[in-house]
Amino acid sequence: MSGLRVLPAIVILCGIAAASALLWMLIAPGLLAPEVPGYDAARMRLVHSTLPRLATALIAGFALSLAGALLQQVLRNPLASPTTLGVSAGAHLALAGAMLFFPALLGLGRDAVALLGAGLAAALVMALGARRGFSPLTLVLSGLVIGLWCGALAAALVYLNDRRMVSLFIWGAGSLATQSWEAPLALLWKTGLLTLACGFLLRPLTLLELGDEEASALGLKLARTRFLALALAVGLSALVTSAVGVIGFIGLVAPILARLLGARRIPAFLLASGLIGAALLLTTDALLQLIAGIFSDLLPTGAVTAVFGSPLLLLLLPRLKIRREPFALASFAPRRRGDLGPGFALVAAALAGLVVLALFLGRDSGGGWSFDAQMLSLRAPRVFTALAAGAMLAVSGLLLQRLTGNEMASPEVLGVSSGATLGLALGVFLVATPGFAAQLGFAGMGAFAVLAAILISTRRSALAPERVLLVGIALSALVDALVGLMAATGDPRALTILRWMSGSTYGAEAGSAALLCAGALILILPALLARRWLDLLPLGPETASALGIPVRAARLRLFALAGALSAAATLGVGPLSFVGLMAPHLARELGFSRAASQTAGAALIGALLMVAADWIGRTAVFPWQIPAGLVAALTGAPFLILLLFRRGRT
Amino acid sequence: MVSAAASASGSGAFRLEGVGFAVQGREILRDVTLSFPEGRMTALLGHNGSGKSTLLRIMARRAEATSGAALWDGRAVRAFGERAFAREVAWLPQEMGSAAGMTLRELVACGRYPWHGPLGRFTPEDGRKVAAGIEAVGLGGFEERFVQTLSGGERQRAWIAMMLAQDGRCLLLDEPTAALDVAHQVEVLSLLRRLAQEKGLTVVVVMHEINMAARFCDLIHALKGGEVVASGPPDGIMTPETLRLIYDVEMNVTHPPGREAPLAYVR
Repeated sequence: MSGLRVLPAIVILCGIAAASALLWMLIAPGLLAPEVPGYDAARMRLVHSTLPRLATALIAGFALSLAGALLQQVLRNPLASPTTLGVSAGAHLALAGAMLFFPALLGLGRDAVALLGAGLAAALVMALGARRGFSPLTLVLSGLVIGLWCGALAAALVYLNDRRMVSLFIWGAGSLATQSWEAPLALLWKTGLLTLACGFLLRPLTLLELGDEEASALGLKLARTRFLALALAVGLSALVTSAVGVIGFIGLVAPILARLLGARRIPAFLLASGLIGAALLLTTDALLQLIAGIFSDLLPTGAVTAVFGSPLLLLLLPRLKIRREPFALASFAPRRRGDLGPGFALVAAALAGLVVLALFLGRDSGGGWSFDAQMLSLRAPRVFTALAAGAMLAVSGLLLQRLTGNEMASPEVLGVSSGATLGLALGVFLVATPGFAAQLGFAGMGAFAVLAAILISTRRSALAPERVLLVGIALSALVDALVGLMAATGDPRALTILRWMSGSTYGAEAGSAALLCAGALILILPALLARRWLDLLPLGPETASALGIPVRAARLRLFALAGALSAAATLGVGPLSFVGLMAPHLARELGFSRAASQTAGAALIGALLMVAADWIGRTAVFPWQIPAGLVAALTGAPFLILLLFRRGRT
Repeated sequence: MVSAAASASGSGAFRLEGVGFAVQGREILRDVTLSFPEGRMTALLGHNGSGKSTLLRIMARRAEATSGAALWDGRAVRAFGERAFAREVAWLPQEMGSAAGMTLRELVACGRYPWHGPLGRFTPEDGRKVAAGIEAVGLGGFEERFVQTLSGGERQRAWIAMMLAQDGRCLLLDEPTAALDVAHQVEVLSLLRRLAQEKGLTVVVVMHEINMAARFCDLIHALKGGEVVASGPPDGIMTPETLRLIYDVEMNVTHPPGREAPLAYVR
């Protein structure tokens, strides 16, 4: 590799020295122990546990980083990686789903299932990106969103099914622990084949550097080259995920380091990325084993890399040149307009009907349907919790979509929900059984900590919405990794967090429900009052300020309002649901396109969706219950895809 | 400086006094003193990087002068409140939002924000101003059309209608014709000229094209390297010497029969 830079090279050399020292400390006990004839425990551990684990780390690190380098090269996006494009998370979700619902599929081929999930996630992200000309920002945004949702859904599935599945959760968080050479050897030949296949792409990828026009003028088939490169990257990530679970951010960091090191030409860049990635993961894992000792089986390496990797993403964000994107909800086709009265009446009537239904109709102890008022005192808190939370999520989503001009924006994306989860997780670990007030306090603190971090780190860019979103997502990836670490410790308290994450309303009491309803009223009112700002801000910051809107102050207030709304809603139904994404879209489809009517419409529809989800979750698989948030999320994913297809046609 | 400046400017509604602007030690504007009289259409001319857009942004309060002052109606622009300024001076940035999903009437109604504010009532008076704005740009009958279904020229006029609904006395436009074909350029520039003459507005337009400026504007201020190199009515600017000064290119000027404004062409 040509053009090595001196300082990075020194840093790398020091890194290698430190890594070697670590490795020696890890291996030495096994090697130096006096040979014991017969059953030699120390040697057995070295040969069958420590060494295979280190080998796995090397191979997984290499493959993921190669995948990341391919993605960054072919998408011309410095932030692309299996993690940031949701590819690993897609594979993880597919595997978790298959394990729980169709175990037979795994017998057919674990890798195939992972590949399917990873491929689907990648296709979804690409479909979203294609509609905005593959702008780096949109790709990373959609990728991270899909990644977060896949991860959250997989976690919820695990909780839902069986609490003894916690080991699956650990695997999901990226554990390298192994007891034999089987896993690393299988991974070695599979990834090896794909790595060799990359050889065929070296020249085409070099041509791509010239730009699309020039490359195709030289006879390169652009679409095929891109597809092959993406397919290889997806394949590599899927294989690694299938073998060891999701290992966050290695595939992002290693290629960036390779670039900093001066790897300029494509072959050098790919090779250097792979080697650096292998070294990084190896070092991380060795360090983890030394520090955590015997608990290292339970502390998933993947979650640890995510904890360190996501702050790095924050640091790298300023490097991402954000092209000014057409600042509008661009793809919304005009709807016919008419009198909105009937629409409102319809939605309101549907909501009222559904509330009555949810309050009185249920299943009796024999499983038959019954319509009575006896259960009212038990059902009412749940129904009204769902109602208030749904309305707040919807309005929060609407605020974010209008502020950012991005149709993918929703409260989950901002990381506020994750912040609330982290707060609660801390609460559960610090106080044995926090009451509702304590939960509220902890979750609120977490939510506002994240919000404050976002506001502070984007202050310099005058709260430019793109930055706010990216910082929010990076923070929520960090928080998810931390919560994953806590949950993976195997502590029984982790179940409380998992239950919360899956979005159940079981804990609802009359007092908390009333509080949430009051909160919803208080917080939705300012959103309605800000209707003129919400109408004008999508015209772009320049125009809005030319009309006399204090853009910065307006953004600050609206972001804070969105944060407060989603924090309050998260308390009710957990961090996972698509309601904040769906409701504003549905409201628009019904013709509510001005800010005020869309806010009111979205609030009603959000409440409707959440109450329906809660009711379905309660009755569908009686006597078991599915958390409302999970039901909403399960329906939300198809909705997202449907939305894409509709847009694709116009 | 070409001497024709003083005669045309008179007492300006918009005045720049020794305006300078520097970013990280790099001087973009230096000691710019200019007037923009009422009821006239004035072009800000210059090649790329001459500082003309920055100057307009200072006038529109999107950037703050590092020295000197920009005065509207004798008051520093900084002294106005956000909405108070928007009630006086309307500004059209080079790139507008797409206003997707908005009808023409809704877009133009946005121009009333400086008057009714975030919470005030949308009065019948507001409605009349909106209708008048739409009428003035000749888009009557298009009120319920969606903005993204309008043609390029119509869309540009729709945004100008929004500026008119603002009901200010000054219009600042940053290259309003950059993305338009010749027919639409003529359409938009004649509209602006008419507005200046009939309503007595102070119109300031950043432009590239010298012939268009000479044809439609009453006054031309030319910038180069952040300094004023020429200023005056088109006849004074349209000389080979002045043009060479502005553009660094040898140009000739002719007076074609049947055309009021002279025509410049590259030699």
